[in-house]
Formats: sequence, C-alpha cells, structure tokens
Amino acid sequence: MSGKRILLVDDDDLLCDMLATLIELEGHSAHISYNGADGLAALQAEAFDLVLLDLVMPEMDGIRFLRTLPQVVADPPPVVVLSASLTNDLLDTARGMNVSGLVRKPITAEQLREVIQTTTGGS
Amino acid sequence: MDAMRRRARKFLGKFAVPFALFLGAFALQASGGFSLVDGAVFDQLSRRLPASEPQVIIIEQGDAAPANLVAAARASGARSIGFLDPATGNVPSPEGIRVVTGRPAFRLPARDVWALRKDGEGSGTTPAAINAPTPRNGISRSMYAALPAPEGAVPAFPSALAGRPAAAVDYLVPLPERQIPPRIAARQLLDGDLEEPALNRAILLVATPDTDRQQLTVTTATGAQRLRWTDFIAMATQALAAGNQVRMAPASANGILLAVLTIFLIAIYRRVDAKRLFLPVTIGAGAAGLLASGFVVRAGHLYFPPSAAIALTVALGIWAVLSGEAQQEKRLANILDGAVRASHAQAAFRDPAAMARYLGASAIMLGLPRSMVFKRNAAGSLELQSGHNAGIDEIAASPAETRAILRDGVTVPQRGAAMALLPGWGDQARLSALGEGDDRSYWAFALPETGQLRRVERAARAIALSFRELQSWQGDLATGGDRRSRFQPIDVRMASAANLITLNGEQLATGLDELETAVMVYHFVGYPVGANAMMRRLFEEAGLAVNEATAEGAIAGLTDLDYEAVGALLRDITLNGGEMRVPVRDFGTDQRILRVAASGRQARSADRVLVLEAIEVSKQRRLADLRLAVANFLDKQLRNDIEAIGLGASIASDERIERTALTKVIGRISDVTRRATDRLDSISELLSSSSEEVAGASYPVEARKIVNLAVETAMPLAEDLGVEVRTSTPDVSGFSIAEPERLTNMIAAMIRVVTADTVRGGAVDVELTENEDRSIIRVSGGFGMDFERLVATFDNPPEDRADEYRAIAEGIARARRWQAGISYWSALGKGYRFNIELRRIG
Repeated sequence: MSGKRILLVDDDDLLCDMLATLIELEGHSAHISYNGADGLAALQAEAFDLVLLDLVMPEMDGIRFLRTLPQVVADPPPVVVLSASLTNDLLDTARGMNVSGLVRKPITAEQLREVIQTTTGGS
Repeated sequence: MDAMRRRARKFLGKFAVPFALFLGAFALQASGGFSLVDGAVFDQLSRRLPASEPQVIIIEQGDAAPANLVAAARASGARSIGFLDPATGNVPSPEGIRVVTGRPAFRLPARDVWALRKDGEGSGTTPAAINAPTPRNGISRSMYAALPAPEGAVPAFPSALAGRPAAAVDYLVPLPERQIPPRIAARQLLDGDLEEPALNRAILLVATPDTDRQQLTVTTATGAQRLRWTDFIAMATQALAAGNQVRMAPASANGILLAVLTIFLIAIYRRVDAKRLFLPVTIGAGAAGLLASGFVVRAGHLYFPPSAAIALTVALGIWAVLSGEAQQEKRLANILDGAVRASHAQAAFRDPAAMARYLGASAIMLGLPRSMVFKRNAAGSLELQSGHNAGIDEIAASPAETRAILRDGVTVPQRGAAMALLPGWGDQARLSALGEGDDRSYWAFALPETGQLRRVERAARAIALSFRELQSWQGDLATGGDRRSRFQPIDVRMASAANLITLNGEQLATGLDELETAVMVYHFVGYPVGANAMMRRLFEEAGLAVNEATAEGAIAGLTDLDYEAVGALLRDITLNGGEMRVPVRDFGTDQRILRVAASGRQARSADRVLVLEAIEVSKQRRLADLRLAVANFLDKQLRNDIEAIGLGASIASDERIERTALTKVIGRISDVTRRATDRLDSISELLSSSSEEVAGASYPVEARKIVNLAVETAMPLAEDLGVEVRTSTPDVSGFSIAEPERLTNMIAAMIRVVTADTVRGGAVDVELTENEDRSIIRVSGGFGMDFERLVATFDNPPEDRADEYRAIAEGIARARRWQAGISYWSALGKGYRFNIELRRIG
C-alpha cells in the first residue's frame, strides 16, 4: 500500500500526537493543524488524501472549516469528522457538507485503520 | 337513659325559671303584694268611667224631722230613703217606700260574725251596717255588700238602700269624675219644691252634718282626694243601683291569666332575640294589659289587676335576656375553648410542668449558668419543677422570709428578691413570678458573668414576661370548673382567648413568613384565608391582589393556564382531593412550580382548604444544569483523553514501534492520564455540591449557548425599538468557565443598554470568538456616551435602565471568581463596546 497524506485538524495536541504516530506506523504521513484556519491553510499549501477533522476548536471550529473548505480548495479531499460533540444537529449539519464519515470519539486504532482504508481506497 | 336525663334537665332549665316567676307573681298578687299599684291603676280607670243615670239624691236633713222626710219621700215617688246617721232615732216605715236606717255593726266576741246595734228601730224599717270599709294602703275604694251574721248576713247600708241582695262579698266603688251625686236641702223635699219626675223611683240618702263631716281618702293617684262619707255611700249605692259596681277578678282567674301570659311570653321569646325585643315586648304587653283591664272594668265590671301581669312580663323578659346571655356565653365559651384548643394543641400549653421544662430548656439555650423553676405545693413547701445546676436546697432564706419574698409578687425579673432568696448565687441572680395566683411558679436564674450580659438579660426578661402572659391567659381560660373560672366574666375570658389565638396566629404567620416556599391558603369556596410574605411578593409581581384574588384568578395569574384549564384543575381537586403541580410563569430569574393541593375529602366542610404552594425550583434547576454541564464537559473531554490513552496503548503494543518513539508515546500516555485526572479533580467539588452551594458556582459552560440565550432574552426590546441584533458565534463551542445565569443576565443587559441607545434601523453586534484558552464575547453598537459618563452611570443609572446597569455591575464583580475579565469602552458618537473574556478550558 502506498502511503497516504493525512491532515489532522484537532486542537488536542496530545491526541494529535497519538493519531499521527499511529498513522505513521501504518505507513502514511500525517500533518497536524490545531485549528480550522491552520487546516485550511495547510490544504491550500499541499494536497492531502484525507482530512481527519475535530469539530470543537478555537479560532475556527470544524463546521466553519467544512463550510469554507469548498471555497478555498477546488477539489477537496475526503473529510472524516472525529468528534466527541456529535449531537443530532451537528450530524445533520455535517451530512449536508459532503463529509465522508462521522466517528464519535473515542476511536480505536482498528477503527482508525478502517476509516483510512475505506475513505482513501487504499488496500 | 342519659339522654332522657339530659332532656329532662334541659326541659327543667328551660321552664323551671318561668314557672317559678309565674308562681312568684301569682303569690305576690294573692297576698296583696301589688295592691298599692293595682289600687292606683283602678283609681285611674275608675275616674275615666262614664257617669251613669243618677239614681241617688242626697238630702241634707237640717232640722227636718225624719218622719216628715219619709212622708215627703213617699209622696214624691222615691223608692227608698236611708238615714245614714245612726243618731237618727226611730223612723216610721209606711207602705210603698223602703226606709233604711244606718246602724253600726259590732263583731260578736270570738266569732267572725257581726250584729247590728239595736237602737229603737221603727217597725218596717231596714237597719243596715254603716261601718266604714277597711281602707287598703290608706285608700278606701272597696265596700262590703254585707257583713256575715249568725243567721245570714247583715246588709251594708248601700246594699239595703239600693235594694240589692246582701251577700258577704266586697266590691269596688267606681268614682267617675263626672258622677256627682245630686244634693238638695230637706226643705225642698218637704215643700214639694221639686218636679215630680225628679224623685220618681229615686233613692234618697239623708245626710246630717255628722255624716258629712266624716271623710274618706279615696285616691292618691291625682293627689290625696278626700270624699265625704255621705258621698262615698251615695256613690256605692248609685253603683249598686245601676249595676256597675266592680268586682275583683277571682284569684283562680288571675292565676289562669298569668299562666297564659307566661306561656305566651315563653313562646314569644323563643322566637325573637330577647335582648333586642325586651323593651318593645314589655311595653307592648304592659300597655295591652292596662287597656284590657280598662275594657273589662267598663264592659264587664270586673277588675283584673294588671300589676302582677306587668311584673311577670318584665321578669320573664329579664329572664329571657339573661338566659339568652348565659346561653350565648356558654356557646362563646365552647367556641373559645375549641378555638384555643385548636390553636394551642400542644400539651405544653395545658401542662404547667411541661411549660416549666420548656423554660428550663430556654435557660440552657440562653447560656444561663443556673436556673430553676419552682412552686409552692399544697403543703406550703417549695417544689422544684425544673432545674439546671440548681436545687431548692440552695434557697437560704427562712420559710417566713421566702413566703414574704414570694408573696410580694415579682412581676419582672428582680435582683433584690433573688439575692435575698438565693444569696449564694451572687448579684447576677434574678427572680421572676411566672403567673398570678397562689399556684403560680417562680423562675430563679443567674446571668452569666461574661459574654453578652445585657442581651441575655433582655432575652430572659422577655421569656419571663411571655410566660407570665401565657399563664395569665391560660388561667382565664381554665375550664376545670374552679370557682375563679366559673365566675370569670366572658369578656375577660374572651380577651384572653383572643390574645392566645392572636399570639398563635402571629407566631404561625411569622413562621410561615420565614418559609422559603410561597404559601397561600384559600377557603374551599375560593376566598383567600392567608398568605405568607413570599407569596405576597409573588402575587405583587404577578399583579394580583392577595386579599381579592380568587383561587381561580390566582392560579391563572401565576401560571400559563387559561381559566378553562384552571377550572378543570380545581374541579378535579375538589372532587377527588390530592394535588397537582403546574409550572409558574417566570417572574424575575426565579423558577417555581405551583403545587395546588386540597385537604382530604374526609375533612369537615368548614375545615376544607385549598393550598397554593409556589415551590422554588431555581436552585434545583441550577444544580441540575450544573451537573448536566459537568457531565457534558466530562463526556467530551474524557472521550478525547480515553481515545488518546487507547491509541497510545495500541501504539505501545505495536511491535513495529521503535524504542525512542515508544518512550515518547508512554510519556504522552502519562500526560493524558494526568490531564484526565486533573479534569476529574477540578469538577469533583462541583459534583458534590448541594442545591444551596450551587448558587454562585462557576463551571464549564458552552459560551455559544449562553450568548444565544442572552440575545433571545434581549430580543423583545430590540424588536420594540426596531434595532437589529447581529450575532456572530462559532457553530460549535468549547467550554468556558462562568456562572451561566449571571453571565447570561450580564450579556443580555449589555445588549439592552446598547440597544436602547441605538437608532431605529440600527444594529447591535454580538460576537463570540474562541481561541485556545479564552472565549471572548463582544457587544458593540449604539450612539455611545463619554466614557467618564458611562463609568458614572454604573453608580447612578437612569431609572428605566437601572436593572441592566445593576446586572452588568454585578457581573463585573462576580467575573473575578471565574477568572474572567470584563472591560467596556464608550465614546460619544462612536458607540459602546463591552468585552467579556472567559477562561476557555477545552
């Protein structure tokens, strides 16, 4: 399997470290942005195969990130929302924004592998 | 059997007194007890009787010989002639005329019979008794018809002269004002100087200077009035001749009359209020009696003396009033007793020993080092009722001194008496009587040497006085049948009962006012019985009048239910009992539930009440909000931590990981674990908070929700003023630390202040931004004012915006506790800007 480029957008630095380590163990590369604005900037700067997005973040939250994404990236990569705040309202909002997957935290290593595999089409 | 006895006693109680009064009146009348008044009444009636055709003519004899007078009388057609003067000597008695000669009668020795003194009667003349009638109370108004004699009767002079049968009965002589016996000189008769018809069938009474000289007192009703003996005899003879002499009603008839009157008055007074109608009934009955008596005298020549009837009427009226009063007092006493029992159901009130124990407990509560309550027992020695570090044996005064000290009465706590009684207690000792009367208790206590001496003394004095009052009132109300209570006037007992009930009511009202729950009691028919202070405030906030609002109106005013729903609710409770709970409309920031409850169906109808209880649920709601917020915070934050730990564990167990990376991951796991522990520690205190502690607690809240709620709260004013409120918030918010309610109120107040200073069509901006560790809320817009003026406005806000400035000022003061920062800025023409910086924790 060729390594995928995965963008982690989450304000929890400890969690991002773990996710990034696990992603790299699986042979992918991980880039971390600690809020939505940084994430959009990263997407503008380079291409990614997958975005793992948290919703509750300072500066720019995940929902605003999703709203802005089509405006700043012509062909955005699939976005999977990983959040502890998945209320019914948020789920409805996110579904209307071409989100590829919604995962309620906590996610296990196995689930993460499966999410990466299914959304990036890798073996 | 008991019931029969009770009924018999009731019957006796009801009729024994009237019967006794009847008997008394009858006996008095029969024994002549009313004769003076009855005689005066008869005199008045007698004066007003019409005059009858004169049949008796008085002949002044002068020097005319009796035989000539008889002859002339016979010749003139007179039917009888009588010589009243016993000195008249022998008189002939020719055919065709009755000649009566007056003779004194004398009582035969040892017998109640009479005989006439024989003094040379002519043959054919009729001797008759001329003894003067026995005056009654000095007044002569009756005349005997005859005197009993050994064989038959000796006729009285008028009876013989009028030709009436002589029976030994008395009669009353009517003396009409218009009835004046005609009087002529003997010479006119002898000379025939009369028209013949004038003496035809006339009765001639011959008077001499002696008979005219003799006089009788016939009435005092119009001043003492004297009447010549001759005239009196003439009037008696006239009455007998005309048949209008008046007989006294027999005793049996009077008795029947009095009995009927008694029954009639009992019946009347059973139906009317005796106190109100005593005078009208008495005056009416008296007047009717007099009129009836006059009528019977005139029409039936019978005299029913009215005094006994009038006296009986008065006596029965007084009895009716007094017995009514007594019954009223009895009813009142029962009501009072019930009311006092209901309001002071505690055994302590009725049990002096328990009162003493309570006083002992009060002494300990006040911190009095020594205290004892004692009383003098039946044997005269002192008996301890309750003691605290004290005993009767500490009383050092001699029995005589003790009696003197206690007898003097210690109405307020006194030092001198206490020191004399208990010298060992020092100058802080006090003694006070706790009641009145011989069986009162005494309270001796010592004040503490240090501490709040004056306050303790004041409190002890107040307690002693309160006990005295209670004991006094209790004594007034005692229903033990002792002499004092039996003779205690009802107004004194009533005053004591009213005092006790008032005291009880005031204590209950004060207690109810101290409740943190608003309570209102309605009578079942819907009128208000009472409300505590909190409910009165709530009514005021709802625009309801406590004394006027019906239960239906109150529920409709306090809740969002319409009248139809309220009616259904009340109907259900009325029919089925139980309770219902309805949310109260929002007044201020407090939230309440209205509990509508009814007393059980088994309660007496008069006791049935409807209770409205507005239960404050704000604290419970705040506690629930806090716990929900904390749980929400934990859920979201711990999910991150658990995910990190779980992923870390997966990585650590992965064989592919290098040692250096493993070390780093384990370090990260340790960091996450510590972070999770810190979070749990930070909220553990909040989770154990009670509803009392939660007031003013700050905890993790979602700032976005707070801002949106504040905007919603302030929106009505913005809509009224045509101002747009532009809101900018994240779609998802993290957690910031604040008191949610106070923060909401403060933001809403800021929005309202700015809105109020924004032109119609203008806008107010409300913005929330979140960075890593701060959540910043900005409210801006409006025309603005000088910054110094804005600062001054917080101290002296305009009346219409006082609440808003107060909410902002309170928020600013409280924000320090949340480690939040609040700033504001304003410039004339440039608007306002309020900034709230909250601590963001995730």
